[in-house]
Amino acid sequence: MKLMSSNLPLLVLICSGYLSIFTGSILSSAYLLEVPVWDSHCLSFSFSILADNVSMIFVGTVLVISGSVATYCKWYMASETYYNRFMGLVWLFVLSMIFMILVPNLVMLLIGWDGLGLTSFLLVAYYQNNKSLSAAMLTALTNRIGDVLVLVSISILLNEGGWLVYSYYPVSMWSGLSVVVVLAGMTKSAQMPFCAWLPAAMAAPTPVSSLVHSSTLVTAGVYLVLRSFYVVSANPLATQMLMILSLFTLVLAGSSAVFAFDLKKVIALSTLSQLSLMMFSISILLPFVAFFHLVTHAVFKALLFLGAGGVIHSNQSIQDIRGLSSLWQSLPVSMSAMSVAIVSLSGAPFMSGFYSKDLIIELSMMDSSMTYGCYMLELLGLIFTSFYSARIVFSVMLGSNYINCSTLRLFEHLNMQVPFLSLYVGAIFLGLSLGSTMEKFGYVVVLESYESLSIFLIPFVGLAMWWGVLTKLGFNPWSWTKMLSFFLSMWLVESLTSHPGKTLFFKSSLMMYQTLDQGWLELLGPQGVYAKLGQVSQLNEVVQSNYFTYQMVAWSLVTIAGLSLVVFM
Amino acid sequence: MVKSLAISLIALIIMKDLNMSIIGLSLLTITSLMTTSTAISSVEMGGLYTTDFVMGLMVTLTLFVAALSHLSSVKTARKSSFNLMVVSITLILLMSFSVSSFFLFFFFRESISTSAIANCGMSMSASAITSSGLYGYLYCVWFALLSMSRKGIMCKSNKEKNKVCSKYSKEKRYKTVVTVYSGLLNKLPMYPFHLWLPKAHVEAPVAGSMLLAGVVLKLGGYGLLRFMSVMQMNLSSVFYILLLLVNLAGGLYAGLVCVRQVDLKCLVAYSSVAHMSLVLLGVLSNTPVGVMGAVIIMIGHGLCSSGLFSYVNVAYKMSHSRLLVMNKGGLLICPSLVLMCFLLSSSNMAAPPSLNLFGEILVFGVGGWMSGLFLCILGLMSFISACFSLYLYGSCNHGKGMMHSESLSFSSMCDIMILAVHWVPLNFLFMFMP
Repeated sequence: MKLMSSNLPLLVLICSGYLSIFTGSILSSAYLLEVPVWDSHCLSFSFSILADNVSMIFVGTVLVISGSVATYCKWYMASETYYNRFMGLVWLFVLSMIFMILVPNLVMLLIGWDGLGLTSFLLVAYYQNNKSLSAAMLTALTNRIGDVLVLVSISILLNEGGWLVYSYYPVSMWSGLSVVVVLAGMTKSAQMPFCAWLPAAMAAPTPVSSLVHSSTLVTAGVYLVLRSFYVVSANPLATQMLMILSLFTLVLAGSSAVFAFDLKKVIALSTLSQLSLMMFSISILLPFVAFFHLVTHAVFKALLFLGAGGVIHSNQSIQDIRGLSSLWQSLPVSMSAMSVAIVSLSGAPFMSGFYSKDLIIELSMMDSSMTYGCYMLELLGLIFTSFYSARIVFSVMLGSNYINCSTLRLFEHLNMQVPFLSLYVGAIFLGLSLGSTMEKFGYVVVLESYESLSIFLIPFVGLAMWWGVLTKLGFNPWSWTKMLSFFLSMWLVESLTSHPGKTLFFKSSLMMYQTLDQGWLELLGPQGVYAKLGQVSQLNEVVQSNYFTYQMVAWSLVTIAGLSLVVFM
Repeated sequence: MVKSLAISLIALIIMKDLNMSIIGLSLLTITSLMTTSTAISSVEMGGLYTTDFVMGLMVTLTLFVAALSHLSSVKTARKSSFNLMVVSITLILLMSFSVSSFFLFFFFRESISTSAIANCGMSMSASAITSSGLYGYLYCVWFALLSMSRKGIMCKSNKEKNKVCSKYSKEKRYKTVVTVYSGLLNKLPMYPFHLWLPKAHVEAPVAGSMLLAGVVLKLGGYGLLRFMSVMQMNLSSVFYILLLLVNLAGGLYAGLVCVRQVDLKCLVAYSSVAHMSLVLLGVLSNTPVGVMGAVIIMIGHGLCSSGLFSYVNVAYKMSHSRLLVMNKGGLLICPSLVLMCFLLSSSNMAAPPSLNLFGEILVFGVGGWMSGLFLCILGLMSFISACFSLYLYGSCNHGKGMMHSESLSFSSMCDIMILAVHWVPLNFLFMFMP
């Protein structure tokens, strides 16, 4: 009872979150509040808030997740000295996320957009070690690229005379805006060239990973792209680029998750693959389906992360999958939560992940613009998802590894169980309840029966593969060391994208500093002038010290010249 | 504005113990900043002074930074001569911002460099004076000579000398532009002429650094802004395009050089060079939006860099070193100072809702309007500004503390308050901009 009363504000927050989701799903009109902030010349900035069903549902989801995570933090971060500082950062993060969702004006959107990058920098750098600092730098700088791209799109829109990129029907617009907006979304959502930061950001405390790097921050990019859908879809180049890169990310993340050993990293990579699925569905012109998956994914991924955090925290911070085993005996509530989340993640029928994922697959099957190759890549990515989900289930929950001989008596605190329960409800029923809302958008699925049956079976293909490959054939892909290092480094993505950039940056800055600031500019500027002046004054000194001699020589030369002139004339 | 000016003079001249009156003054100047910025009309007084909103903003910024720089060097040796120096610099700055004649503007602007050098020399040994004095003189005086000579010619040939409303004859315009610009660009400083800035900062005491970065650098931008408004310039001339390109490339280089600095003061000084190129782009665009952006960046940068120099001073007082490697683990030692450092350095990288971001948005718009290439370079500059700001924050405050110093002296409440007072107008003034 005492626990309940101390958590009352958070429980109210969770309830209001669910209320907001419910309100959003029955809301049929949109409300826009606009307050002018600055008005000058021919230009004005105003602060605006948009409340329609999309933003209400998303805000509700963020509230539910943040309330659950805050309750969870009371257990997870109980031994933290600077608990208030930590929670302050988390709430700042939630606030900027809500700003990001509610503000449709591209200029004022920067408050939330930049704020997300900065607070996530502080949260990733929360632990005072070098690894977390470098991860935080990677996160903040990749997010900064997104900020710069938003600034660039503001600059493009400045010539158009309006900031509401969400309701912008491009008429005369330079079509590069679509590419810029898509790229900005891709930095926040960690799509292919910018995907190195998401696994690195797992250096943050686990509740932060659950809130920030799985369900909210990374979906901000998807949200921006789906909101500015009219602009994005105006340029076929942008959607084509998005489709190719998101499918590539889907396969990359799925295959890397199959091989990763770190539990948090597996979940991070699965987040990456789900994000690329959302991006993919935007690229085939289905923004609201992407939003549906965004909401369901946010809830079950937060649940999965909280479960994983419970596992890690209860097992003396062991994150390696090989060191964790048969936890269903010791942590029954966490494991049931995690299994619900995993089943939902892999898209098993009638969980909430099923409805959204199923819709994406069905509608992409109907899409005539997709090539066969794209379709195969999509299916491959989805099979990977169920494969690594099965791997988590069989090794962490049910498996019996001999490495870990824990004699601890594990105990599940109530502060840990309450958030599980609240997200549990969402992970099971949200898909069903929102699915009916999605029908309002008029997506009609026309498929042959064997096709829909095959979609039904996708989650089980991965399971069957796991069973067949490991148990029946005795085939162990983790023993191929060369391939393993390739997949563990996420297809060498860090050495291909961020390392060359970093090296170029530092080399060029050193070159600039040495050749220009300490070289040519000094030579042509102060030092060179100083040296030249010194030389001139030395010359002067020489001249003046031998004044008589030079005078004699000069005069004699002049005399000789004069005489010779006289003589020869 | 006049009231706060009078109070500041009374406080500085009559009262012996200045600290309390200065706190009051800084609050007054904040309100003054808000009220002056709403006055758009321009008023000419007696042919000698001109007030409009840019001038009002600059004058209030000067008073504000001067008050805070005095507060941050309360415990200086040779107090009375130091006070005299700060007051004289402030008065000269006020004069140069408010006079309406170009000639007087240049006169006061150049008298700043002398007193600034004297200020640099105050706390330093003889060898330091020679090096910083050499750089200062070689740059400032040489270009000042150029522009002053041209000024003299202009004053002889023109009847009107007013910096708000005079017109130029077409002859010799090109030479005038080149010579006057070289003086102003050196003051700004634009990239190839910036070498004096880090050296002057390294050798100046904290009040000198704050005034130099906060206000003196704005003289260049202010002069350019006034000059652009009377000078008709061919916007497709080679000189103009070259100037823009060198300026933007220079801003990029200065940002790159920032991450190679080992001295905190040098880092902040180079970041000013990078920001000043945005100001120059805004001014040279010669559009209302660009000029507005340049003014806003000047104010924002004045507050932000002055705050960062103040932070460097606090860090110096704690670790007795300005080197980056000697300032580590601030979070373990003084969390509230780290909070202020983060707020200031995030404002330096143009995080919302700072004035820097506001100005940057306007300058980005103008840059995109001018050329797509400029937009790309501006984007890179903005990215690099995040790099060096986070580098400054991360390397000073993250990780384990350096235990080299046996007796750590902690920062006082006054120091934190000074930093906070820098941050507040920086982030809330955007609501009061006209």
